[in-house]
Amino acid sequence: MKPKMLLCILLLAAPLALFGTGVAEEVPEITLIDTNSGANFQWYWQTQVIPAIKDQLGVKVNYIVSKEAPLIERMKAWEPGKGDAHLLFVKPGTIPKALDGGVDLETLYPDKVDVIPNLNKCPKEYLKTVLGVSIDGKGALYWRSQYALIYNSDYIKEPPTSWKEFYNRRAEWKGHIGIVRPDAKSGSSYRIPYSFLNAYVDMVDAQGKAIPLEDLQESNEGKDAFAKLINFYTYAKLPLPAEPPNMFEDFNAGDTWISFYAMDYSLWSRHQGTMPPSIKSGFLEEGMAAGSDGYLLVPVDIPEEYKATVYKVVNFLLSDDQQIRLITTMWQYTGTDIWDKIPGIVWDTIPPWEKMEQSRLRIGNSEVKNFIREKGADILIP
Amino acid sequence: MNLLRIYVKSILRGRKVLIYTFLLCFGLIIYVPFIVIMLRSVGKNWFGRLWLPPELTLDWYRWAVEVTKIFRITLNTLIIAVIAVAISTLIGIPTGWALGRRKIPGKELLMAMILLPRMIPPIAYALGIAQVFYRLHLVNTHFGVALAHVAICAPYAILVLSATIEGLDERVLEASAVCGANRFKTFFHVILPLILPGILTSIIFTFTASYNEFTLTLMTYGKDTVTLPVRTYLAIGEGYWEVTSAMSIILVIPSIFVLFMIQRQVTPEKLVGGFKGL
Amino acid sequence: MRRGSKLRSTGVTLSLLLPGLACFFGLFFYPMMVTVVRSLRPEGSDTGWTLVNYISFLSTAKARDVIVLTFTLSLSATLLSILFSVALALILRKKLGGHRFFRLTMIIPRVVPGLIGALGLLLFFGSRGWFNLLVMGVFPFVEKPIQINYTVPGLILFYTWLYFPFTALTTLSALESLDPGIEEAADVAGANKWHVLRYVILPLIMPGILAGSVLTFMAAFGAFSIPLIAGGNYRPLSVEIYKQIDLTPARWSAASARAMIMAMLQVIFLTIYMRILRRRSR
Repeated sequence: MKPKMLLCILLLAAPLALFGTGVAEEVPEITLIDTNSGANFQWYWQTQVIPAIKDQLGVKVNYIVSKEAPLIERMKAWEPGKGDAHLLFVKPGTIPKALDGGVDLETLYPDKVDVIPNLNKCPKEYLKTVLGVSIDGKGALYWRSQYALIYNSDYIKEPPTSWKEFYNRRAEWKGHIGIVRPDAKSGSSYRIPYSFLNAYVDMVDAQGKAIPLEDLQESNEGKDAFAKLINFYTYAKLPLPAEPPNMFEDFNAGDTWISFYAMDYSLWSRHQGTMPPSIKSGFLEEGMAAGSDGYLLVPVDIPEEYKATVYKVVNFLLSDDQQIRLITTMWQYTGTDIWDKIPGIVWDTIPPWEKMEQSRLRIGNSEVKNFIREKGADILIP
Repeated sequence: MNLLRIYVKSILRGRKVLIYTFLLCFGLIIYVPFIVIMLRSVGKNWFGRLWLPPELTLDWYRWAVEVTKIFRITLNTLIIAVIAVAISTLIGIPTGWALGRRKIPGKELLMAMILLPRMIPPIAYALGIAQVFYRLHLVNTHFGVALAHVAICAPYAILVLSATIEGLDERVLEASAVCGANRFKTFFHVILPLILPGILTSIIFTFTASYNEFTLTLMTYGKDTVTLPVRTYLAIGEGYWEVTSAMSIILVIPSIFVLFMIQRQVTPEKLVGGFKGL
Repeated sequence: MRRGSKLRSTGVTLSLLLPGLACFFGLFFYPMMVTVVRSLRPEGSDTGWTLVNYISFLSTAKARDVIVLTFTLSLSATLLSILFSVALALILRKKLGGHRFFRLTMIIPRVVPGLIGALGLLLFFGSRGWFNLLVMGVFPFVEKPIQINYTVPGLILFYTWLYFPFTALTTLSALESLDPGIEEAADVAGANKWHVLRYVILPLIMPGILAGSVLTFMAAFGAFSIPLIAGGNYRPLSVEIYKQIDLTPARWSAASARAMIMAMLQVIFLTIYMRILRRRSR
């Protein structure tokens, strides 16, 4: 009996060891590392985009989900020309972090427009700066993600239309407002407090330059805004959820009625049956933070022979066909300005871009953002 | 005798109910979490306060397979576990032999030293391992992650095997030598079959330890070596819990298999020594 | 000649020990030293020595809270495990019908990955989980679901669920190796059941209970995956360490200093515990 068991284990193990070695592929293969997509877009990449690239370009894409910190750590250790992550899909904040960490990125705009002609359709201000920091065209804009008010219409018949109204009516929803911890990994950690503060005090001056945090904290409006924010948190569903899935669990239980989160994610979850059908989204007029816009990056230190293929893939991802699929399947605003080409039916589900753009708040004061992330847990958690 | 009768009677009467209630609650609290995960993994549109999901679906399993590459990840986990078990066993046999059968001055100290990794929180040396492995380019290789697991698994294998080897009957070895068997023959034909149960126990425990290992994997994994526990962690933090539940069910199957083996091979009472390390 | 064979024998012993020693030094001692050295370097630099990583952590009020929390969680879980294990062991000892099943049940939390146990408990004790549905159904005066997840009592419960088997297994085996004659003698002598338990059985199995509880304590003190996903606002030392290297740029020195503090606390605590244990069993 016992030796038989050992044999059993060995038999199980042997084919596994063979499997592990893998077989070389003939098709050109690139590795795409994704540190931006949530669960919904991981599904989209794997089941829609990657097969399309294989079909239409004949390029096999090895799609890998990772995180920012280990990705940058790894890239720092690369020897020139030996990098093994050929294309990166990241959040805006990763670009300055990578550059600061000494990871070199190809300047895509305007240097590579001859090989990535679709780059011309991306809005130029998105290629020049992120989070108020200059990035000099080192990334290509794949999508624009937008935060919006989300609420359960079973519990809330008349949602607020501005942050000020939201704050003034907070007592109505005491204990039912979903706010993720300020030190959560998810970007919603700082987007709620940032958008809230922005409704009461200017984050950037008339020229779009960030107002230093110290000046903000000294000014009367600033003090008032922070005091209101701290008060607002005491009306949240407690304890604050650690990450968005915990908040959605509260939504599904009926404990949380209203929050502020990525619009595409909420709508798609409703569609998939992972959130109640009574979930709706709404506007807050003083401004709603932009979500994690998706940027495609090409590291300098990858083997030269891969670069042509990688640019071809980037161009494909920015093509009208792919961009339209993005908005029609996932309700995510496109990275390219091709609004006249998008089927009108889309705007029955999500607000038209012209309208959304006015409420869209691109995070321009990264000092405030970082302050919230680092000190927010001490100040804001009731 | 009279007293004993009263004692037995009282147990049979009121106490039995109490005892079985206690055992029932105990069984429930251990098993129900898994039942809840199971239901969550097949339920759809399960909102509000309902006992059971209104609709059943296999979508989340399809999702786990398509999107999170669960098979690739299971394969990673098993490859890593097999390598870690192999290395640990290869370390465990000679070291266990030395500790079990040879005279060593300060043996207790040596044993304490080898068990030291179990006394220190894994995260403390995991930090060091991560830094060393980054430098040696061992991060993100199956071998590297498995090697990190060996830090946890080997003390185990040594503990179990030295106890087994210590218990070998001296006379059998002598008899073998008398019959003219050389060292290798003695080892393969006499010793190995005798310590095989010990080796099996050690394999089961090191496998379980490696398969479930999270801290060290989190520090040394890379894009190609994501294991099931790490993927589950990522999914709990970022994904839909329905899909996470489906992944968890897949992850739990080998554990049940191991449990089945443990139950067949060793009685739970004998597990104390083995579980010291888990 | 004899000297030669002795030397050879030492050589054989050493070469047999070699794999184990290599593993110890290569995978434990050296990485541990790397952590020590890292904790004494200024952040991000490979030269120079400093204690600033320790001081900057220990001088904050948060450090005290984190350390107190870590001990609160692990000690409460250990205590709870002991109470639960003694009761369970006393029952299982009687070999009632189905006792084998419950013995197997006992080790499940150790065989199944901890993350899954934690996920299951989170779902079970959640505000719409079965536990709250049951409580609200049975007790009409409970109108709001009880918040268990992400609270300290909840965490203690999760820790106990995951780590009690260590204590339960040793307690059970200590209990079963007791000489049944002792109890019978006490019974015959007319002591009541409670007295037998209190003055005869418990003192005899105490070493077993304590030895097992050390294992529970160590596991709970070093617990990482559970507080990471189920801790909410409560972050014990292990999570605090991980959060340091999860930042960009990663703060390895700060993390290493915290890890050293954690390791030292555990070693100090264990030394004291072991000493008490030895005195008790003497």
